[in-house]
Amino acid sequence: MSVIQCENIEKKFRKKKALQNITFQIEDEKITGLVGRNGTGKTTLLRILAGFTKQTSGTVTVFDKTPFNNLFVSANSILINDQMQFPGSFNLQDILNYATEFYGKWDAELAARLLQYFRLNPQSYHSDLSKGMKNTFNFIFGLATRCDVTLFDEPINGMDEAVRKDVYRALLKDYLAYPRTIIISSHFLDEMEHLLEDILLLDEGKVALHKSLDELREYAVGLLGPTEAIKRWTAGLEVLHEKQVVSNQMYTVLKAQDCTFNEQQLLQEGIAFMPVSANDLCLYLTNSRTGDIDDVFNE
Amino acid sequence: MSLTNKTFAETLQVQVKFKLHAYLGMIVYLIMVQIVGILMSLMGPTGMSSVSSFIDINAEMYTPTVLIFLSNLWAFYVGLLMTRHDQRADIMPFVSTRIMSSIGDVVVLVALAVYAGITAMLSNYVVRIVILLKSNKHMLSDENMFSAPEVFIENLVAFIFFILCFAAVGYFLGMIAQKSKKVLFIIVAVFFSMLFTSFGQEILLGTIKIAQFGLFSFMGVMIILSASCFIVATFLAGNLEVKG
Repeated sequence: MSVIQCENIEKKFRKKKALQNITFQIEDEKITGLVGRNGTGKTTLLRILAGFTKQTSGTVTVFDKTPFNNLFVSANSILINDQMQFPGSFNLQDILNYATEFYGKWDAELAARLLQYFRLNPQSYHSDLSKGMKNTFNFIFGLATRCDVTLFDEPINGMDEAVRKDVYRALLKDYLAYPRTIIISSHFLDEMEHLLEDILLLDEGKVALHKSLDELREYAVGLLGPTEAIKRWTAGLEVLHEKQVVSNQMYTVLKAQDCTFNEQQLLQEGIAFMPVSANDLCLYLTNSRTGDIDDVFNE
Repeated sequence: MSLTNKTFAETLQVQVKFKLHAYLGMIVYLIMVQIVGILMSLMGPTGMSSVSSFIDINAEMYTPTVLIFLSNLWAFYVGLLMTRHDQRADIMPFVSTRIMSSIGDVVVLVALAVYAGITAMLSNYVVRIVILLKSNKHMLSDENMFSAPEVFIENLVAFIFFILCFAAVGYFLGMIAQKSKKVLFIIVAVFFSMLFTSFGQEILLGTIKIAQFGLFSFMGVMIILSASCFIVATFLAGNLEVKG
């Protein structure tokens, strides 16, 4: 069953198109990773899904309802980001107390235990917390609401590695106990790959790819070997990425469906097949630059 | 998947409680403003003196004008403050819609206006007590809540509606500013230029005349003005996007 449906969404800020022709569906009880470079519209998309902002055109439904100004959607969804604000006069305990009254499925016990585990003093004020601690609290808040649609926008920004690991673990454990639809936008795809079932990749405001993680892992293949041999074998094929490793060695990434080569022949010519990680593939698919940063320094 | 179904009324109730708690700090500002009002009322009475060979009369008139003016200014500020981006974003982590949030703001502003009206009225009594404590002073007009309860209630209601009206205007202008600063500039410019036209002056004087007719006509004018501001502001809030 689709919980989130978007059809041809477009969002303009003045004359700039932040999102265009966005069409996808997200199934119930799945964790989806929303990835893409900076400024590709991830935050805008999440804000539209949460009902914080309105799309310029197109249709968005969450639980079959338009999210903007909808009480039902608001009661069953939450957007967690590092811009979350709470009244300055509330301490963390006040915020959690009010959450009990607002959210029907709020798990006060879980929130209290997580607060204690992450050493957040319930009497401290949200605005006094460091960036990492603020985001840890926001994460706890989002997890404890147990909303059927939980949207995390860069939830781990500012957290140290140990906290990030704990956060991933907490998210996975709670999701397994209480399955729900979760979308996480993050630049740390490598770290959280084990959590995700689907990937929604945005590039320049458009959906570049929406696939399961398993499909993504099989989407591309890397070839490493002598430059001349690789150039010969890949002639006429769509190259997703290529890089000169050393003077006569080259690394090339191709779509797996195009690789109908005889593996033995390639091996004889010194070319090795390499798997391409989901994170690398997302980078290659969204890289519009020619060359890399090294070329800036090489005249 | 079991979805939560909350009614508008129950969510609004929680939201009003939340906002009242959030704006509790405004009460501190009100107290400060009213202390200043009391001091200014005591310092600047309007008076007249009459001296003859046998009698020396010095009459001083203390009015709550300064107190009301400062309380109105406070209400205007609170109304304006509630429309700011960061203030509106405070409710967004919780269950809400823009229209509900705006209705919640209106309820809180009404509650704060009632509180401000009562404290302004009581501050007026503080002024009277201080005057009485001064030597050689006699109160000529000493109606109080026990000797003339109807006057007390009339004044109290007038105070509350007057303060609420300023809060409503602040909320309305704040919401217009959030929508478009240009529109706000045009509204303010049109309002002030109207005051210089005979038509605008007629409307203003007519409204003041109706308001001066008695408590009920004053209340009517204040209610119509406040309700219009709140309704337009709530309508505008319904379409406002929230940062954060």
